[in-house]
Amino acid sequence: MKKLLNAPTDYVDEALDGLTMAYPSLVRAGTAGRVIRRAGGMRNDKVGLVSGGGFGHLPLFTGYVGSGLLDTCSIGNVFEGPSIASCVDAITLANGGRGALLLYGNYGGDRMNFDMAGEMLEEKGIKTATVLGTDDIASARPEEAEKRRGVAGIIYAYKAAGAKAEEGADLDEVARVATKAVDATRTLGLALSPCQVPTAKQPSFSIAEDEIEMGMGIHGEPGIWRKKLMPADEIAGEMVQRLLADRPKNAGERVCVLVNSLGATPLDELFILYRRVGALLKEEHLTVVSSLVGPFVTSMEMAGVSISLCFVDDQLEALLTAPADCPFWRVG
Amino acid sequence: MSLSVNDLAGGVSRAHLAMAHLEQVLNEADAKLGDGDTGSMLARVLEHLAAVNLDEENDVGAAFNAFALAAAAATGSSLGTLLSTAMMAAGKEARGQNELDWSAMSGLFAVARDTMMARGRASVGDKTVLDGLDALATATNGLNNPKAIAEASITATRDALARFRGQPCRVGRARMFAEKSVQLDDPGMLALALLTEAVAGKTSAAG
Repeated sequence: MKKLLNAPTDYVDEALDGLTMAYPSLVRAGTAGRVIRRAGGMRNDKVGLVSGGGFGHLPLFTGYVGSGLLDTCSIGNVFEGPSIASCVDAITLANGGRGALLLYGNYGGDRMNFDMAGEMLEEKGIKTATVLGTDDIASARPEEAEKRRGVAGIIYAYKAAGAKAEEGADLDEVARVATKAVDATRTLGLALSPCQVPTAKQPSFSIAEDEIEMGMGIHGEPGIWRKKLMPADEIAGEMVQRLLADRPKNAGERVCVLVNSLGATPLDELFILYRRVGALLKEEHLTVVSSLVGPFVTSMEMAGVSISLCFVDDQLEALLTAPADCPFWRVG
Repeated sequence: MSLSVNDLAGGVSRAHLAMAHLEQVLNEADAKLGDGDTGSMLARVLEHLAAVNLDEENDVGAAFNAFALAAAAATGSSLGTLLSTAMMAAGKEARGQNELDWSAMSGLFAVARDTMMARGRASVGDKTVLDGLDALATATNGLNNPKAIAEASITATRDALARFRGQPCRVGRARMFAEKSVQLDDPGMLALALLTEAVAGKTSAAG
């Protein structure tokens, strides 16, 4: 695969250099430079919101550091969890004295490193709570929802928890709101072509030119089925049907919708999908509170989409529409 | 005869050198079940381990700790973090000792297995690197001759690979490929087998 880079081993650090140069609101920090923090530093009157994960998913995770969203973010190598040291740095930098919520996707490496970092810092008196993103409905059955991976829908949890933290809520309340947003969100992905880790010699999976895979994860994790490419309306129809079949028990009639590019799929195709998604939600008597269409959580050059639905009540709607500002998402 | 810091450093050095050809072998094995980067991750970790300066260090436990910290700094991947955790636990076991009787190896493998099990929330039998470590702990139990330990270790990790080749992976990302994983080696278990051969001074072809 063709990639614009210098050396594969410099891929992450050079991209972070460029990111922070382009957006001065983001600053590299931490002993290894693998933390992104807000340029203004941490406020003492709010709970810190920390995330992190492997690189290769921009704007996730680092791009969502900003007011009303994340305070800090630790970054690993491509598709690898952040190191324990980076997690310690990210949590320490986000702690203004009221503790920090660790909000990240449900992946083994991320979990182990954040857990160990949290245990180390607890001994130093920094209080933490953890909420895991588990929105990918293709990754486990509903009865094993706690095993599901976190994918694009985690940005709704960032937004809700970030808004709550800005209000001055305590750690327990920020964690409760983050959990509520995770519980209210469902995501399903669809892959058209693979991506390749810069240091690897071959793509992370193979798929025929005329095939698609429903439910594939953002690292190429296997999905529900692989078939021949079909019209966008049919794809949108099946994805919405599967998402609605998995909707939370207490789901109301208002939703936020995210039609997300996995990297290579252009906005044109996202809007073709959204056209049908919006129509189907209307047929189901669901009111769309907000729409996001674009590359919000990617997998480098992977072609494909994910659709996320976040079922909101009054509280979540207020938090998701409260002002927030980062280089890749501005609300209000 | 006993195990010293020099022996540890020598083992790390041989493993590091072996990664020159094992990196892509392990990447390819991982690509069948994962992201295809296990080899590159281990190459980076072993490069960090090989760079640890132990010239002034005699304490075997402290040497394990230094390796654990180097591994933790090099990666945040599941396997890399588990490796770091295991070496930290081995460091606690060997703390304050300048020499370990070779008969301690089995116990160190067992400590590594148990620590990784607790941190990684996996079990023996799930078709992971834990099964290779379990085989090492069992096969080296009662042995105190380094040559015998090396031979038993190579056989044990190879046998573990063969034994689990007909079974599905039960945890982690590979569990999602249950059917496909049946005939494939777990990349972590494969890495342990190939690096065991390298540490023992035997070269290996691809898996």
